[in-house]
Amino acid sequence: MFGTGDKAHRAWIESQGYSYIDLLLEQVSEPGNKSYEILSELIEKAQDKL
Amino acid sequence: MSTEIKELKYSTFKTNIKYSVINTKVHNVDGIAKVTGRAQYTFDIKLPGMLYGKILRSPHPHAKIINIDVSKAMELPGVKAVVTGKDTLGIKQGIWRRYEELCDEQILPLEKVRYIGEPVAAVAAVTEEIAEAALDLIDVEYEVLPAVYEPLDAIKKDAPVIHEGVERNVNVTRHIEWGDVDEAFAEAEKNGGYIREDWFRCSGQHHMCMETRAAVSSYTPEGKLTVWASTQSAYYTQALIAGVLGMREGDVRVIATYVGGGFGGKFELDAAMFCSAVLSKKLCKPVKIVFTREEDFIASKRRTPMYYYVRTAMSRDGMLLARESRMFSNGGAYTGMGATALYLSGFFHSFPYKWKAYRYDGYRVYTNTMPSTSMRGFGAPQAMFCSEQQIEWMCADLGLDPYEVRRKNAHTECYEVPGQAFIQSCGMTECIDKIEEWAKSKGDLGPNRAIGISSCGFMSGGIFNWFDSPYSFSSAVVTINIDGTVELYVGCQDIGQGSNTTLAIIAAETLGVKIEDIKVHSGDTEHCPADLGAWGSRQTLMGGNAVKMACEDAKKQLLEFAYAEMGLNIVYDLDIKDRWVHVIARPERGMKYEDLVKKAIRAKDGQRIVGRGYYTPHRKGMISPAYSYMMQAVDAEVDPETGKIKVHEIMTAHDCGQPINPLGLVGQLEGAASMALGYAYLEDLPTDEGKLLNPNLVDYKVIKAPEMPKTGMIDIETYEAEGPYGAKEAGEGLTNPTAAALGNAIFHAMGIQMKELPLTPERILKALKEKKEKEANK
Repeated sequence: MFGTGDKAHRAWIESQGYSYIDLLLEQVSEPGNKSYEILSELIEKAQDKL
Repeated sequence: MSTEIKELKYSTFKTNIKYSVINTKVHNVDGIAKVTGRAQYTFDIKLPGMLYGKILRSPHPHAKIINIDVSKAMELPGVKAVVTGKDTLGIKQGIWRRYEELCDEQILPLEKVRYIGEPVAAVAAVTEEIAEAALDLIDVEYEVLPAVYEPLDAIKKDAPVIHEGVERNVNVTRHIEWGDVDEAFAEAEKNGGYIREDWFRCSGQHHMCMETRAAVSSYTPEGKLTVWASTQSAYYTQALIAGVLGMREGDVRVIATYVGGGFGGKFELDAAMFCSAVLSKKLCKPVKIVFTREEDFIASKRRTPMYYYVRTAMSRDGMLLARESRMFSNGGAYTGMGATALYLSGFFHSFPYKWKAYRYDGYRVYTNTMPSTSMRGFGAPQAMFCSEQQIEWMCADLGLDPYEVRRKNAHTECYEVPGQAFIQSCGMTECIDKIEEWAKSKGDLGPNRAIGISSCGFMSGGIFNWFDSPYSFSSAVVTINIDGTVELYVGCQDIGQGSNTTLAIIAAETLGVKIEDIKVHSGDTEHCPADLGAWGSRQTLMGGNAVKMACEDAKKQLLEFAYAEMGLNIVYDLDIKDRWVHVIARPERGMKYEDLVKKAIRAKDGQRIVGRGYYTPHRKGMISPAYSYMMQAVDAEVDPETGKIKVHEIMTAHDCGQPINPLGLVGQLEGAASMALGYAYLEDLPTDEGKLLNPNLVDYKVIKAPEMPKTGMIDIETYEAEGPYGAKEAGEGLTNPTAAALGNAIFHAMGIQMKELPLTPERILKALKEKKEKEANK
């Protein structure tokens, strides 16, 4: 899901009002899977709009 | 110190073919040249008119370069040139060529330095002493910047920015996941499973090659550059040098001389290669640069230090239910090969077990320290130290048999690591059985002494092509001379591990000749085919497959002629064994190999027989075409007064497929044990404000020969369909289990859980003190 070189993905997350790097580091420094859950919600919402 | 191999034939996959050369004890084909001192290393190269280079290095961990004044140095008699970043094309280079942002290192940077020891200028002079003296006359004006040394500090919002545009200093990330991890943990909790979490800290390690980094570059006015280098890959070196100098690859010739050890630290472009090439290009004279031992310590690269968080769920009967791991690695100042170590660490952290749900998040973080890179084991020794100790502790917490738990969760043949890898051959269960048998046969070892175990697996060659090579991963060309002798040209690189011998054995077996008939040519980009080189345990499987294919091609040409010559019915099959060309069904009916070669060459209008072979893995998953497996047991004793460890014996049950050369296998086992034990309890790279505190062989402790324990191996033979003659890797993977096995021995001997490497007496005493206090408080 995350990774280097994924610039389009990174820009898209930031256009949704989230900081890519904050989400990334939250994923590793907080227990659970919160960042990925936020991401999946964003993706679902974006799909609904299609 | 002695190593014994216990012959144990196992596996239904094992073929019953009797080999003539394979699995016989063959001494290294370059052994005599080495022991008689005739082998020429880069250090030994001397060319007419050769100059000597020295490198000026940064004293600051993080600083802007304001100005470099070389005028005084140039005035010193004997100095021929001084170069800085301004004399280069300023190209940022790196071995991850597919990703531009990971090519982040200017050797001789233009704007700023990022670690103590980073090169800032290089001098060429008529003697090494003059070059050294000239370094003191170079005036560098720096603007010192705030620095950061630990990954957990470097990701903070207010941390200094090491590479502009890289937020929070996160260099690379890697996510591996399969199954529903959250659900698996929730279910484990609901069903009364046991969940445990731990933090671990794994240290760095120096490659400690006997031969330090060294290169001789010679540029001629025709626009051709020749580089003699101590390298693990002549092809990578050729391509990288051509890239940074703006030359065509074909105009750069790299000759990899005998190499005094690599261990993963010598396949990137280093400052000896780069600075000697830049100086030589400027002067049109040969320039030689050899790192001092101190330079090698502070300014080569190192095993990646890692912080691991591991959370594991196990059922009360010992089934592994779920794991989530997070890892921060101290990447140091540049990417190097560290990005690959990040992935492999997370992948092998799951090994060798069948996890239903697994998640790994790895973060490689830039810091103002020496760059981290690949080193024997490629991230797996760190991963196994954390994984195998935690599993052992969980077994103890639940009162379960650690052998049984490992056995019931172990990989088996034809298992798919979800979305990652397919396991064809696997002798893991047999490895566990044999080590359990061995450990139990030792009986009671007495106080403060115990056996610790650890299992693991490793790749037989990496599939990844981050270098973006357009060539096959391995290639070989074989030519047969009129007298039947064989010239084998390979791009594989022998760095002391004996790959030339392994390839010669495969060639001799395939062609049906003797080992002394084979002459191996390697390490010269002008004469040998391109090959990715020596890394990722790839040469036996990938180079071996290319050699086998080349020899089969040549042999087919010979046998086609033999059919015609012998006037055989086409239903008969021919073969060559021990230089005898014969009908397989009637071995007495045949002809001498030498006679056949002579006739075949005449029949081909005087052309020598030439065979070609190549290998690139396809449809083999994301990591490797095949995996070796092993379980290791370490018998160790702890002195409770001093915290000192004495290792009595190491026994390893090892599935490397079909062994090619038992002598080579023993060498690899002993070398890996020495390196892995050093990592486990001796070797460390402590720093203060980014400065390495032990850059010499007095203060950097490695295992000396008299300290080596007895090592033994139980050979579990399987047959790997993807490997040449069923072979897999044997050597690098053996570095992986030792630190964990030693940690587990200490756990069983003393009841302490060690979460930080190396396992020093100070840390052991501290853990013993904490244990005592805890017991007193009960």
